[in-house]
Amino acid sequence: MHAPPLVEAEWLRERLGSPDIVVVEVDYDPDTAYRVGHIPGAVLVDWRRDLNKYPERDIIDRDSFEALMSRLGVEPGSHVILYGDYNNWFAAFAYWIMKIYGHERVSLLNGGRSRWIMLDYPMTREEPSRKRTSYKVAKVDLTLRAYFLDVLKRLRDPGVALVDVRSPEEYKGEITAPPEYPNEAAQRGGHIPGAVNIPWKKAVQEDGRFKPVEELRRMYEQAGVTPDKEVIIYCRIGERAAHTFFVLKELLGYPKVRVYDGSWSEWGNMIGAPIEKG
Amino acid sequence: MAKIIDFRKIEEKCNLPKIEAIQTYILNQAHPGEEYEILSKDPDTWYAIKNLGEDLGYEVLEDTKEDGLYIIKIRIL
Repeated sequence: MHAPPLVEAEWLRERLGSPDIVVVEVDYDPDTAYRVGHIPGAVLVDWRRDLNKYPERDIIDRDSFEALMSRLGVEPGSHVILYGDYNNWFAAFAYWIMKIYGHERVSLLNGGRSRWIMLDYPMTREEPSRKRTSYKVAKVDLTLRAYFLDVLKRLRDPGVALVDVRSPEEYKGEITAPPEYPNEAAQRGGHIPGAVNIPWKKAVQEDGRFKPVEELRRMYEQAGVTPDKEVIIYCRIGERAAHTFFVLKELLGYPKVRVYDGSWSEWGNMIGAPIEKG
Repeated sequence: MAKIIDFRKIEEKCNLPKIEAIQTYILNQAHPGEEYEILSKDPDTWYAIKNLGEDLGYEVLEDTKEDGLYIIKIRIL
C-alpha cells in the first residue's frame, strides 16, 4: 500500500498503536528529546550512533542498516513514520538513508517534535519493546548520493543545479561553522563554485511545517533550481541537505536529486578544492 | 524577582544543544535560590526545560504558553 511522503500530526494521532505503523524518533540529542518524552510507541534512532559508520566517516552500510531495522522491529513492508528534534533535520537524514536502502513505505511527520508538543498531543517516557525482525534490503539506490568527485566533475555544468542550504554567513565564508558547532569548522570558508544559496529554513513556516508546494516550487525555480536539472544539495555534514532533498524529491517531485553528504566539512578541508567567497 | 533569559534571540541564529544552552546561559552563573524566567518560541525547548530540572538542579515553578511564546519559571536548587 502506498505511503505518502509527508504525514500530519493529526493523521498520526488517529493511528497511534496501529500494527502496520512503526513510529521512529531520530534525534541528534536524545538526552533532551526522546528520553524526556516521545510519541507513545515511538522507538529511538540516535543519529550519531545508529546512522553513522565508525570509525571511518560514512553512512551506515547495508548490513548495519538491516541490523538497525531488525532491532527496531521494522519489516520491509512496515510504514515507518520518522520525526525528530532540530527541525526534523536528522529525521530527514534517516529518510534519505531509508530511500537509499530501498524502504518504500516511509513518511516524515510534518513539523517534527515541536509541532507534536505544540498541539499538546500525548508524550511518554516509556520505551516500547518491539519484536525483532529479520529485515533484508531488497535494493540499494546510490543515485541519491553524490561524492566529492561527482561534484568536482560537474562544476559549472549547466545541467546541474548545485544548492548550498547553509546560512548566508556560511555560504559567504564569513564563518566556517555555526557558532554553536565550533568543532565542525572547516579549514576554509566559502562555497562550492556555482552553488546557489537557498537556506533550508526557507522551506518551512514558523511552526516548522513545510510551506505550501506551489510556494516552494516558485522559490526554487526562481533561483534556477528546476526539475530538468540534476540537483546536488550540500550543507556542512549532510543533515540540512537531507531536509531540502525531501522537499525537492518528495514534495516537488524533482526526478534527479542527490545529497552530497561530505558537504562543506569535506569540501572546505580538501586540498585543492576550488572555492568561491562572497 | 526572576531574571529573564530570552532564548528567542539565540534560537533565531543557532541550534545550540539544549543542555548546553541551559548551562551556558543560566546555570553557569546561577546561585541557589535564584529564579529565572525563560522565554522561548520553540515548543521542544520548552518541553525539555520543563522536564530536565531534576537532572540539572532546578525546580520548575510555572510553565505557560501563549500566542507562540513559551515561558518557564525555574528556581535554582
